Amino acid sequence: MSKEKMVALICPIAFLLFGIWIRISTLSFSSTRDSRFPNLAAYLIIIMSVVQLVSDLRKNNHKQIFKDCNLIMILEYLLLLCLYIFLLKKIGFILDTLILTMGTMLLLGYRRYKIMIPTSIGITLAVFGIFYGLLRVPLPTLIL
Amino acid sequence: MLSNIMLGLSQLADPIVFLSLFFGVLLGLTVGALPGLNDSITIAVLVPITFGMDSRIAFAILCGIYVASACGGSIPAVLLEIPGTMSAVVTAYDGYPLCKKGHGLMALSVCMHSSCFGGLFSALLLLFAAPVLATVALAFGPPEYFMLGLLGMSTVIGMAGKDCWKHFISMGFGLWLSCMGVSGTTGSVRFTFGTMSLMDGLPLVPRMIGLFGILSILKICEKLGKGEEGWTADAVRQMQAKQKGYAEDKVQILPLSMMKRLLPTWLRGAVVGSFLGCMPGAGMTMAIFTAYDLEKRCHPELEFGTGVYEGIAAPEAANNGVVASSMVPLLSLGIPGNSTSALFIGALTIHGLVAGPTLFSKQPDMAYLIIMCFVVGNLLMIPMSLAYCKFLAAPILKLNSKVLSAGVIALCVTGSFAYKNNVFHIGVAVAFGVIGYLFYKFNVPTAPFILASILGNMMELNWINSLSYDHGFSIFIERPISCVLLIVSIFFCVWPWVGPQIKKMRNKNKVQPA
Repeated sequence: MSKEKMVALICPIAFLLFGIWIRISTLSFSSTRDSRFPNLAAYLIIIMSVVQLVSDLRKNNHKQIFKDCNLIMILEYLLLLCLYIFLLKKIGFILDTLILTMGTMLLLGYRRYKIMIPTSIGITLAVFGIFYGLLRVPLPTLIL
Repeated sequence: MLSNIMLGLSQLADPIVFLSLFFGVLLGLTVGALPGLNDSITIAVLVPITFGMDSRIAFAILCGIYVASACGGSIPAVLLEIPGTMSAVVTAYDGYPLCKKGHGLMALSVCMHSSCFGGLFSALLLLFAAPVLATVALAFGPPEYFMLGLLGMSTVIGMAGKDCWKHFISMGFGLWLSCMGVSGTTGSVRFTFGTMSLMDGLPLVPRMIGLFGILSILKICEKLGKGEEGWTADAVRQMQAKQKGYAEDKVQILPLSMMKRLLPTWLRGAVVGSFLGCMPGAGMTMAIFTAYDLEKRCHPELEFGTGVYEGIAAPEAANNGVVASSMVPLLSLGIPGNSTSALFIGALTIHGLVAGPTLFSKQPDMAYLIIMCFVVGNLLMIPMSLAYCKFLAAPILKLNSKVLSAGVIALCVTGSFAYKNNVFHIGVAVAFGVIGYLFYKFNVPTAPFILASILGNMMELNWINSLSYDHGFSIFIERPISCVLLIVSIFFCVWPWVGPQIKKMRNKNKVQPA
């Protein structure tokens, strides 16, 4: 089995397992009323993912799904977002968003610091002004 | 009727009331354009503030916000692929590809005209046919609502291309998501993983922000160092401007030829939006998907999703069609058509008015002022939204995508947080960004999943209520409206397979005599 085929099969197999998990989870529901719709979803996912699996197994030509994808960059960016969530209640919205906006531009390869720094400050203050000042959203303001 | 219209217009002729409507439209465009905020949040915040105001001023502001927010939501949908409001989800499917092709400003112009047409259509319907439409809406019980949901689901089958199985898988995933949280029928807790934050289910706004906003940045990330290094729409425009025969991209009043081309699309979208808007609970989402699907069926020669003007005109006409028509059951019967119109009941009560038929007999000046605010608000929206796009959108298009991404992510995380002031919702947005990315890579469509996750709740509740009538499954066939909706749903499901076969047979028959 080619590598491309194996990658393509991940999707139907994952959905198949997911459908089975939903079906098993509904067994613990006390009322059949509660389990009707989740069961419908489970059966739909299981049946269709089996059909998809068979269709993918029969196919000979598979696209290289992750060809030319910078997955490391995506992981780095997701890490930055997780860090943002973790720090939001610790250092406050302004500082945290400043880090996020600068981090985003840096990660995406923007290196013109003279533009980057004032832009980050501008974006952060504009968003803060609109949401906190105008719309009264209680954004965390701990350190900044 | 004419005297009542004049009565409403005379109220609106007061400069302060008219300026309030103007302010409301401007505010509506702004909150619509900001991801995470929408009309219902803004109106909910403003209703208590309007307590001390003159009723006419208060309702002019509230109506202006309601009229314009759906239209404002399409601005970030077209420019950044982030729908500002739920009503602009489908607009992003064709709006953003158009922007990447260098037609972003023209796409926005189409959006604004379509919104105005749809809004005006439903506002006139509200003015002339409210009592009749309200009676039709009252004939809908749980079986009809279930079938309406099924009809909505069947529209996504129409969107299916080669990989229709993936559409069904995506739909199943959406149905499962709609089951999360406290069950509407028995009150028991399902799929919350012991988290209190999931008791209300997964909120829609952070989900959409993740599926569109965060996904758009992940798509830029994946291309870094692999050839494509980001883009600016302005650069695309300049490049295309050099090509022979390319029309300059700008915010403009649509040329007559374009209006002629889009008129049938606007009509279809407005009718779908106005009809579904009248049904209490049926909602915006179903209207935009149904209008988009209907347009796809009417134009099999066009490749929707790649940047087609009809693909943005239909949902935009439909979403603004929903706005005024959702006031039909409210003003005629006192039943709100959706969450935003429900807030109007609160506003009416605060100002000592009672929603329902008595409003027209006891205070016709206020009833017709509200209706005229919808009519005039839509007319105001065209110049205001075009000017808004010209001054807001044009500078945005000049930004480098990397700089723009920083602004997008700041809006995404703040919008997710602002939804319920909960950090957990930023996590939801990030998680759905990842889910959206995986769906995108494995070619699993997100439209069925979005629609199913919204309609699932309504369908489940009405399914159980229908079966409690003691008629069993036959209730869905015994009731005429439900039966018709079932037949239409089956037709929608089967047509993608049967339609091409019929065409083939017809072509064969044509060839044989030759």
